[in-house]
Amino acid sequence: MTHIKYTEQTTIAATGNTFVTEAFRQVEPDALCAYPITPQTTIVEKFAQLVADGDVATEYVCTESEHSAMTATIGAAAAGGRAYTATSAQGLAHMWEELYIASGLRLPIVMANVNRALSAPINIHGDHSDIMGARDTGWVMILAESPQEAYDNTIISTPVSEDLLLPVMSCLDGFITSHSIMRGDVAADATVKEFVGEYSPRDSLMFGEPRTVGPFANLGPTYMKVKKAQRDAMDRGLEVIKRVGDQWAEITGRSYDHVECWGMEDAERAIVVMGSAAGNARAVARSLREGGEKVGVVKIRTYRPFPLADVGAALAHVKAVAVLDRAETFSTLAGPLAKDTIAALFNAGVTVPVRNYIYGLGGNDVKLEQMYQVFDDLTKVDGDGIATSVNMTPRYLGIGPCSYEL
Amino acid sequence: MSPIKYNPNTDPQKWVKSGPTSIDPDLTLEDFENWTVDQYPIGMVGEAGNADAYYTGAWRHEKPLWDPAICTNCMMCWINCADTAVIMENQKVCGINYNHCKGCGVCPHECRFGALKMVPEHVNHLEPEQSAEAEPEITEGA
Amino acid sequence: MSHDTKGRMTEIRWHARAGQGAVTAANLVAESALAEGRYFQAMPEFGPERMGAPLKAFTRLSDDPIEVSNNVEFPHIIVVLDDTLIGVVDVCEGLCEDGTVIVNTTKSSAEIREVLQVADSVRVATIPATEIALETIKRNIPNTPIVGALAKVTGVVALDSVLSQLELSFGRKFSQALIDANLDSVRRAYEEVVVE
Repeated sequence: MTHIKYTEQTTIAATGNTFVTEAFRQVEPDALCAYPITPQTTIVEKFAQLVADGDVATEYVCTESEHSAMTATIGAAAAGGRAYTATSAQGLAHMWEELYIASGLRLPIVMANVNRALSAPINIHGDHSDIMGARDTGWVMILAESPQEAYDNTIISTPVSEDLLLPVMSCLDGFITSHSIMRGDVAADATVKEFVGEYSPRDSLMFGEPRTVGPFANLGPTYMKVKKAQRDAMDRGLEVIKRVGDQWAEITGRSYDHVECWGMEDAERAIVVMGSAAGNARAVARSLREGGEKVGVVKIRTYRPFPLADVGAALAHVKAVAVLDRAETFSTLAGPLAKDTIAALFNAGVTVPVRNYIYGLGGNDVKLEQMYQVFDDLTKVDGDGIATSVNMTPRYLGIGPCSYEL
Repeated sequence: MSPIKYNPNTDPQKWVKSGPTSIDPDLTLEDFENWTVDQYPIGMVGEAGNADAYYTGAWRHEKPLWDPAICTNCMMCWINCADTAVIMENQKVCGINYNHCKGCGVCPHECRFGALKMVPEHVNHLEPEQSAEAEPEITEGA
Repeated sequence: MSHDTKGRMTEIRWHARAGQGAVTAANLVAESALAEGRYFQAMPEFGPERMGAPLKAFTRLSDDPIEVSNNVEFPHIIVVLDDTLIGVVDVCEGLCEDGTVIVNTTKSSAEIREVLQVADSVRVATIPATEIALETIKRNIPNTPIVGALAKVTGVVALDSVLSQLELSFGRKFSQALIDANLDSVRRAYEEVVVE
């Protein structure tokens, strides 16, 4: 036994990945089946060391690929254990079919995804292209801005997954958060154990009556009805995530909101953003506020299910919105987060010009000047609403002066 | 084929060959991060072997020195070098390409004649007792 | 634009080669700052994943929580763990006018100043960290002495914080002899660093 056991909430210096490993250690899943891929590697390497040193009783399975990692995780979860895994980019893409299976089988799996650019060309640095490819898989997706949030999100994922019977992806930006050493609090080991509780699977292959997992549901309404049940679970997601988040907040003092707003009480111009760049946007907003400019930042923390009502409410009174996408999905109609935001605005009956920006792909440095540029662009929007706006085409930030035209 | 040395008083050196690329005479490799979106070849690297122009010699902290007096041209160093940094001409070894040699140490390990020795990066000559002239000995054939 | 307008955040850029312990050094500074109740951020920027390849690391230290995560563009302090990087990488890029450069070298501050060609307002500090490391811990890993030099020259972390953190983090992994040698290397560099 070589790892520290925390007997009370302790402030530590650690990377985002180490905070995730700590969360894994404190929950102590029954199984962790994984394959290494930069920048997730240090999560699973450290966890493997904990297993080897006897610090956790988790069964560690080194699979030969990520597809197998998810298959094995599904097997372990179906058997009745708490099953965790972690991956990034090509790994997440490699297990694509298994992601649908995990959620279709209604398994409470928790996976940490260290957000990284998808090839081609090859790039190991942080962006959201990998998770955007997984946004339709029926997984709950929560994004962290910092190592602290990566820890808190991962802890919250377990009770959420077990309540909804849907798998949960706890996401953090590759290198920027995963490899950045920052200050954060870890709860006492006993606190986490009590918070997640003893796992008693509702159904499992190992315990109770014999069961079949993974049946066929062919022509006829069965498949569709099973999907409707999955949809109903996802629809409960926002309420469950918030409840669990609030319970964790009571213990730690750190709140959880699907949408975290800064300066939005009277903001005229707002940036909508997810992940680590939210901090950059907020730092710039603070600076502009000191100069009297009415700007705000809307950070999305729960991405799936998308907090439609909260986003609509946050942006109800602004004059212009910029949505920053850290993934290029090559849609002619705006990036993925922008589309979700526009749906939220439509849903809330809010008509406001929306500008979409693609930034930080492949870990491209999100310099503060890019945020200043965006807030400045928002002063130049014309009065038309989103329905008729011709400004939908995403503009690229950070690739040179000619990256876009207004 | 003298190795190119960098001069700390000049701009940081990343490229050993400058000049236009073969894919487009208006583009130079040194400037590739400033190429516009349309200037990149589509989907692949368009110019054969241009990795040769990128200086990776700065990655090493020790390097091999080659002694022509001992070398039998067996070519084991050349075939084992992962960087193709052993310079050959007409099946004879001519020296080491220090623009790309990363100082991994495989070539002295493979040379069974002792014609290659690893020295700290700043050393450029073998000490007399390290070279063959000081100790002539009968060596095996290739 | 890059730093906190209240001037309470310090930004450091490290230049090293993979394998010299730069990440451990940045970690040690971060943990020392933690012990002092401050906020910090230490991020590596890897080049090719190979021993000897040049790498950069960025450290931010502040009394307030740090929310930005972009690369440090205008550092107040630059630490160069390997003087052979000078000329290969533009180590002083973006350095503040009144900034500080700390270099692991056997050359004098005057010689380094000549090579770096920085403004007179920039302070140049030199320390033979490799030699100190070889003499104390008997290994060519200059990271602990360089942190000692950083503490003395800039005061961004206190020597005592560094020493107690080292003891704490190394205490779990290394023998007392090795820990003492590391502490010694920090103290020596603290005493011997030359600033001009």
